[in-house]
Amino acid sequence: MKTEPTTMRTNTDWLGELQTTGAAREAALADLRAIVLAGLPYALSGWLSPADPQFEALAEDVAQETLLRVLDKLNSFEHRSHFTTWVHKIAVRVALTELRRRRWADTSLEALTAEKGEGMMMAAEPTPGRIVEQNDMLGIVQRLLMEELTHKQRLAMMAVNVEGMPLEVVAQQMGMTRNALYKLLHDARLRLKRRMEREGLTAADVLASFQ
Amino acid sequence: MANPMRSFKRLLAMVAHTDEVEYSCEQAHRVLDEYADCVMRGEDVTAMLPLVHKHLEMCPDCREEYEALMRIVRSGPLHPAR
Ligand SMILES: [Zn+2]
Repeated sequence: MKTEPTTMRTNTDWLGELQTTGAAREAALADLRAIVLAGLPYALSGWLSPADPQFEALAEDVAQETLLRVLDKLNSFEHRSHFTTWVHKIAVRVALTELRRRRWADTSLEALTAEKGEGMMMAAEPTPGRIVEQNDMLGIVQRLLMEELTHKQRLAMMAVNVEGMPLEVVAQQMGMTRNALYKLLHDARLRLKRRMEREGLTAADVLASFQ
Repeated sequence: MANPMRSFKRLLAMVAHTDEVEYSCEQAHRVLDEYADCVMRGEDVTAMLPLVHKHLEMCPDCREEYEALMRIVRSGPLHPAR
């Protein structure tokens, strides 16, 4: 079921009409809004069903916020994609930011650390069922995590890579941007990789021992 | 609830595939629309935009957004004029 407008505008048409005044601009905005709304059920598939009572209000909010951002950022559109793909990209960011916030509203990093403590890898606890070599490997990796990473890096890694929390949610709770959190995690992975290499181990070797 | 052993293995795999230089979320987001359109045209994005491709492998948030964006563009009419 598609309600997408059939008007075919080129990128130049879109930019021209959105930057003008009067009826042409209003028409372009209305069409763009309809395009955003038509895309959302697909974007949110697996997140929120269009049958959900919350869907319509969310979609309205997302469309509204997307149009504001689009108008605000019009000058940063680089013509390297279809204009509508660029707009959908913005809509997706707006929508998922809100849905992640809702989905993880009750999970706090603080509670997570209180519960799990510093040793982030529960898997690292020796288990009789595993072969000796695996327990050794887990022990080594656990030690490297403790020695090589900062508390912040371990916390972020546990939240994102073990608990599966979104970067966006973790970043917000840690008082940083998602971008900065990605860099922090990248730095953590890099430190681990280098340290393992210095120890004569590669992550691939360690993984191989678990195959 | 995450399976700790699986998470552990996935983390190790990520460490193994970590590059010295990786795109940040902002850098990847900036060209995500271009990346999606390239995919739609059947172009080889791993060769054309390798740093974006890599970021999408490493960043769950950006990957989710990419997947959502692709669901939209795949649902659309044949691509509009540019
Ligand atoms: Zn990212």
